[in-house]
Amino acid sequence: MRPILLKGHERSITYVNYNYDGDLLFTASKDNVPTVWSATTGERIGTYNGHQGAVWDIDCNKFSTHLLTASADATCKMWNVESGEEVQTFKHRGPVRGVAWGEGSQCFATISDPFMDAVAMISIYDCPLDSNPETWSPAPRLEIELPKENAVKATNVVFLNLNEALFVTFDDGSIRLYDVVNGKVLNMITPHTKKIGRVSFNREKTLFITSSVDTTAKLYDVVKLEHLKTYKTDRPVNDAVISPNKEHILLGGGQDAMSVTTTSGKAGKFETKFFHLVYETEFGVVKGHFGPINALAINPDGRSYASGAEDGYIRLHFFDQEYVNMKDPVPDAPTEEAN
Amino acid sequence: MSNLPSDDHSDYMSDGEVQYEVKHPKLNENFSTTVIIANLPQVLESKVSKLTAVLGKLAGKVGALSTATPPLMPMNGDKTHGFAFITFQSSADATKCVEAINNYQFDKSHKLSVHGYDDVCGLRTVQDTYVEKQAKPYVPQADTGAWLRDPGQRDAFCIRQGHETEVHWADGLRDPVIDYDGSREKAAGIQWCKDRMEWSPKGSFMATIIKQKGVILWGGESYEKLGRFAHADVDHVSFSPCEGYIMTVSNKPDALDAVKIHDIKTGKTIRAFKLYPSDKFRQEDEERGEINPPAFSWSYNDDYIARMGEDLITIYELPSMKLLEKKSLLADGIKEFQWSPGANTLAYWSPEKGNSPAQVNLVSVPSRKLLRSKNLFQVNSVLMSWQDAGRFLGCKVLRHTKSKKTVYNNFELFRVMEEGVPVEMLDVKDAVFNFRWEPNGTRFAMVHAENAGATRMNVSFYDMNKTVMADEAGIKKKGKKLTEGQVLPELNLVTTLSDRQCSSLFWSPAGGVIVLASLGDSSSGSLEFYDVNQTITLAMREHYRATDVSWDPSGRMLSTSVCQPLSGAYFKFQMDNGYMLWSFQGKQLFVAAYENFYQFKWRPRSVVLSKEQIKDVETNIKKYEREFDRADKERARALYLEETKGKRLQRKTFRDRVADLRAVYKDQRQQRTQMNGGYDSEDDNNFTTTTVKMTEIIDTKETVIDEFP
Repeated sequence: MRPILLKGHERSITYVNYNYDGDLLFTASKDNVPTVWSATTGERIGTYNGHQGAVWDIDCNKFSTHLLTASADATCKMWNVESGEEVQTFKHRGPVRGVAWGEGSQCFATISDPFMDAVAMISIYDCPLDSNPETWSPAPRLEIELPKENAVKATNVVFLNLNEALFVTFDDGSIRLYDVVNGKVLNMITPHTKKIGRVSFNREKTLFITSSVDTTAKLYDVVKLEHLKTYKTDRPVNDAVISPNKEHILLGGGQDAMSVTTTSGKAGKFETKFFHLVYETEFGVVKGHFGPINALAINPDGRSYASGAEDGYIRLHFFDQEYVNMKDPVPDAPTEEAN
Repeated sequence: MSNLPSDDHSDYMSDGEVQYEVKHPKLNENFSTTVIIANLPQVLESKVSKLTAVLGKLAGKVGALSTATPPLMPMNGDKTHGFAFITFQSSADATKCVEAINNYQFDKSHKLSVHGYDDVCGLRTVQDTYVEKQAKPYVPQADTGAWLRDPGQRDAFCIRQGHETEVHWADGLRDPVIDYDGSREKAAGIQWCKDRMEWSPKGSFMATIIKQKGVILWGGESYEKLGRFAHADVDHVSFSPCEGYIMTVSNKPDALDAVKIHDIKTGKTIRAFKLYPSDKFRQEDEERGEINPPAFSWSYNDDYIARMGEDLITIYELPSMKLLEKKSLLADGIKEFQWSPGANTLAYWSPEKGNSPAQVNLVSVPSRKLLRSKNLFQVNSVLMSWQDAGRFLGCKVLRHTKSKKTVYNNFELFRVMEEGVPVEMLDVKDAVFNFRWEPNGTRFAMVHAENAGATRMNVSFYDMNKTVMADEAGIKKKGKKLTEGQVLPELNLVTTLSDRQCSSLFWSPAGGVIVLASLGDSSSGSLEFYDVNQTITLAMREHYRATDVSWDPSGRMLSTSVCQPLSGAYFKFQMDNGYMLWSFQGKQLFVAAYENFYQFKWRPRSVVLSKEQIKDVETNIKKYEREFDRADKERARALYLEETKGKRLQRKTFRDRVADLRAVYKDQRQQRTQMNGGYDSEDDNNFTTTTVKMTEIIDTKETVIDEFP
């Protein structure tokens, strides 16, 4: 498996994701310029210029027309995917950590960090895409303030269950579900003891996997919020994704970026690890990065995946035939056992 | 007495009861000096004195008659009964008399019947009516061969680690599995092996040494206790080659029973010996400060056991443990002897003494016929080594030049199975460190180097037989034409490997492959797997600090281990303790590390197939191969199915969960479609499949073709 090295960003990669159709790859970096690439050739298609701070999160809507970006410059921007023009800017009081489209692309939610006097905030905006952006309200439809005394920061935000609930992860290892109308906490679980870096869902949004600095990734059921599996590693996990067509998990991480310079690439554990979804066993690694992997994304067709790392590179891997043909290591039951 | 103060004499009076035991001389109830001579002529009283005189003369030839008890001939009416009592001065003479004149033809019609008086008295206890003895109820013995019928064709080995003693199965395909680990004894609060363990030569028994008490034998399918041989402070244990007997030795020079020979079947001790056959050996050991007495050794078929003495070898017959023909085998100046592993033949050597040369002798037992004697001169020492089938005897002779300043080696190779036992000589100028016969083969290997202090060694292989090559065919030798493929009994060098790190040699029990290993503290533990048939190195491996190397009985696997001594010195090894298993090609199969590791022993296995059966296997090898391959696969699959049972269940649970979740997702389809402005992302019709052809220029090259004129 020979990866395509996507060189375009000047600083460490913060996020990579495919669009719904799997033909575009969006990447965000600390260099302020979100970029879109061809997911098949690795060609750089364009950039979205305008942010003045690190971009932490991006989300492209289902029809790949509009892109939302969350930036440390305390703004969230909406872009026209095709033309690269800025559609609208949504000002926040603190750095914006995450952004997520609602189902149907008529609203979106952001999470922002506390800054000076401003508290951490979850905001929901309405944006009827068929109307003129000028007419959209610059103020959010709903704001949920996160209590200052807890000093927790939100790390990810996602709409669930046909926009009925807002799913937010926190840096104390907890996950809360909010009511999108009144902002009340509907449910709360604490899967990890340390910060949840990333959370990612399967395509149907029925399973999700959390990645944590506590060196594990955990698989949960979206409907019952039940813990299903734990994937243990020897390193802080920055991102984990569920394969769409195989019972596999891809997991990336590595030593804390601060201590990276003190270790060699070999010892830093910067590989992408492959785990079996069900048996929780590791069965393969892909090496290549020389900094901790910050972001992983697997193509919805399950034939390629992209990894972005602290080293500023994105590596686009296409699975070789051997992997595509790989069968489950556990043979099917003999007929008598099945009966 | 009454006027005396009672106090004064109290000191002299004993409080105890006075004992009036008169010490009569004990009546001698022993009649061992008396014999009864029966079947004498019945004579009238007048002739009694004459007959008594004749008898006295006859018996007097055997030994001195007692003067106190003259011969007695009881009367029956006017005639004698026809028997007489004769008493000797010593019981030994009485015994001799029984042997000597029993069945003696006294006259034409009288054949004497002579018996010891005690023996005849014993007859009184015999009851007149015959009572049939009840046979003891049959108690089935443990099947000590059960392990040989293992359906997986596996080999067993035993390890001692920590406080555990475990017997494992290994087949080279899968990781070893435990067969028995003493769990039954553990549950009863006993440790089944405290010190060392030893397998019997055919693997039927496992002996565990319990230093304070003795030796316990285990065997059978579930490792039952099959025997106990009490011997306090036991140090060594040795089985006879056919597993009939066991010897236990404790290194106590003063004990009368330092060496005990036991019969395994009956569990009885059949004879005990002192540790040293004579004080000379003890003094020698004490001067050297070690305990290394001449050891007993068993003949190959359990017929004899022998030990070296001063200028002799004492050979005992089994199971009676009586000295063979009541005399030792004289062996002047003997230094060492060895039984042949294939026949009742002894080899021993004696150093030079005065004008007589050093000798290597081969003696056949019980005929005591000298099969071959070889005189040697200027000998420092001789190292004898039998080929495992007893076909050849190799003697490494360390010799010195006349000036005694330089030493050199020479080999004397005896072809024991051939007429007249021809001996071949091989001179080696180098220092020889080690030599080993190939099991079941005709070759041997030796480690040698130019000088004794060298670190890099050479390893040479010799063959006792020479196969005639194509280019030599037709040449006349000793008046006979050679044909290709003919095997000549001629020593020849196969190959020499130079510049090797090697201190020990380990031939595969199957022959053909040898492992050259450098063992010991200062070496690296390098292992070279070498195929002598093809003269190629199969693999170079390393087991750092390995102390022991051994082959499994089939020659499939090799084990290397770092063992620490049972007593202390553990700090030296701590880091590396454990064992590794290798295939005979040098592929690493298994690694195990332990905090404390003491012993690794393969369970020996004897060849139970006859020559015809082996031949049959060889000719039908393809068929067997297929069978075993299939069995292997089936077993692997069954095992895998069993192992993955839990995982399959996990997978089923998980897939059911995902299916439930998908159902929830499907239920929301309509709502979702509505939210997306009527677009149904799950409708395949909304997708179009297009085939895209892409061209990529990998390289361009420009060449100028001939220009037009």
